[in-house]
Amino acid sequence: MKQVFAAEWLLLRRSPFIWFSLVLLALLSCVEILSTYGMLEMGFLPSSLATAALRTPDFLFLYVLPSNLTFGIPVILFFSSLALGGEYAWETVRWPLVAGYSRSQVLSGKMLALALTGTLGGAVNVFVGSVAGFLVNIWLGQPVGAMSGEIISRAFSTFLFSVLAGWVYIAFVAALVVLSRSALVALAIGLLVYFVGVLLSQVFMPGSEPWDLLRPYSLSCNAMQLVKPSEGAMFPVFGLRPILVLVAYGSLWFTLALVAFKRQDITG
Amino acid sequence: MEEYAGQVVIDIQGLTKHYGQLVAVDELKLAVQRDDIFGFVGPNGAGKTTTIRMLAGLVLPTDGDATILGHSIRDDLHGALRKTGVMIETSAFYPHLSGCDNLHVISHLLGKGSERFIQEALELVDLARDAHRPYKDYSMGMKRRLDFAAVLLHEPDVLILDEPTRGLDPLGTQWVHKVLRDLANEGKTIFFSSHSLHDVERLCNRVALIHQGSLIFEDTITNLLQRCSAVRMRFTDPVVARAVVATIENIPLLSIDGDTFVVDTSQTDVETLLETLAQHSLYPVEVGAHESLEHLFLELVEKEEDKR
Repeated sequence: MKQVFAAEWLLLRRSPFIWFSLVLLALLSCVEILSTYGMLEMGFLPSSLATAALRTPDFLFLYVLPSNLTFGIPVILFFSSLALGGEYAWETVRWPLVAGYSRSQVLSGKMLALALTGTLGGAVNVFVGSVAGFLVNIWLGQPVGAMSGEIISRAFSTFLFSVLAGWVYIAFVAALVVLSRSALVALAIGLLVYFVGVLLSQVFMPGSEPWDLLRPYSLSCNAMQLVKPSEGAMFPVFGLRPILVLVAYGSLWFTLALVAFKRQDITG
Repeated sequence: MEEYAGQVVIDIQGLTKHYGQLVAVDELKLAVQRDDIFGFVGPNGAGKTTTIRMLAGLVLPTDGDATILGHSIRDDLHGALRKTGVMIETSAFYPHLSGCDNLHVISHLLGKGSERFIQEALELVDLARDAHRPYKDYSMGMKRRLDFAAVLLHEPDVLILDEPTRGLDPLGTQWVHKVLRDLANEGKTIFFSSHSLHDVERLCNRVALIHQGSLIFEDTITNLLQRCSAVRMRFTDPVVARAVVATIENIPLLSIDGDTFVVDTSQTDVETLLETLAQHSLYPVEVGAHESLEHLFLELVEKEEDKR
């Protein structure tokens, strides 16, 4: 699997989709920062958030950047489906197979490289967003303090949770690509499921009884824990349950992708 | 092939593939011997590509098994393909990458990341000058050359090639023939599918004919030619050949046209004929069916269809 990973990693580094996605994630981060501070300047932020917004870097790391996940996930869906779907479109999926690797090694190696790319994308997002946030703060004449130890650990766990959510969606796309053998079909279904899930969980359904029963088991609801702070809390709060739900979904998609891939004929 | 001592390099044992009701390959049995250039021929849809894809681990057999260099494709695919270079009918590379970068990806997969090794492969297939052009800009001939470079990266003892001359112009076909002959001279065993009997006649020592998934003929090219009533032989020095043939008794010469001699084989064994010529130090550079080999194959296919 090490060699499949090495080949895939080389391939991803040379892929225009990946660089486009990384730039997009960086831009998203800047837009999020600028729009938040824009709203602050125009007085559109609730007072509690407005006060917190001036407490850089806490606000930046624990409220603004996790919000990027809403649009970060579609970017992950985009590059994962194109990277994996391209293997079917160009039939290049044959190369690791004719080199004698087992199908589980091939799929695991490819997904591992994508997961690393997703993590790198998250890091780029945080880094560019942080730089933009600090610059805006300095421009606004606000003091820029150092992060406390508690904030560092919370920021780190928030980042890891975002990365985990990204990995689950990569596994989801892998299952869709293997089943459909098409990047576009996988991307379309992936985006549809994601946005419907987000809309249901965040806009239309909250408070309705049947939805409240499903909420603890919904992928979107659990992935969006970061985006929507708990009532009364300034920063996202998540416990063990969302992590377990995400791991369960990730395992389910990965197993589905693997079973389908193992039974699949590569016929060109 | 220092690790594998067996004589049978590819042993196909009852390989079968069903797609629903359609039987693509039906209990195929074949043995490719060490140093063979084995032609696997048949009309379109006969099951050639499916067989090769099964050998390459791309298509999963419904039943049966095959061993390559003694390793089962079902139980030890990695072992079976470790010293096997596989080329599938249609080229498949990353279009946005250059030929060189595509080979880098493949060499990473094979754990052979050396730049010099890739450069050597590119030079062998005469692609060194175009190595940094994007693959999507390659002509059909260049794509085929890149396919060969990818196969050579495996440092194979066995080559399994699916229609290696497909879509090539005569120059490209000639180039493929030369590469295959060179590889055979280096002691590689070659198993290739083709629907071009011209390829088979020029290159192979053994041939198998598959039709509707079933094997209908397998033998040496010499025995196949035995079924023809006449063979043509080409000599590099026709003047010497003409003089020597004139001194040999029992050579039923039908005609001579330039460097090509047509010999009646209705009463004579082709192998005996070649032995007789060899005894007189006369070695034809080419032996082929005087009547079209295609005609012979069509007859075999028709007979098979009549049986059904």
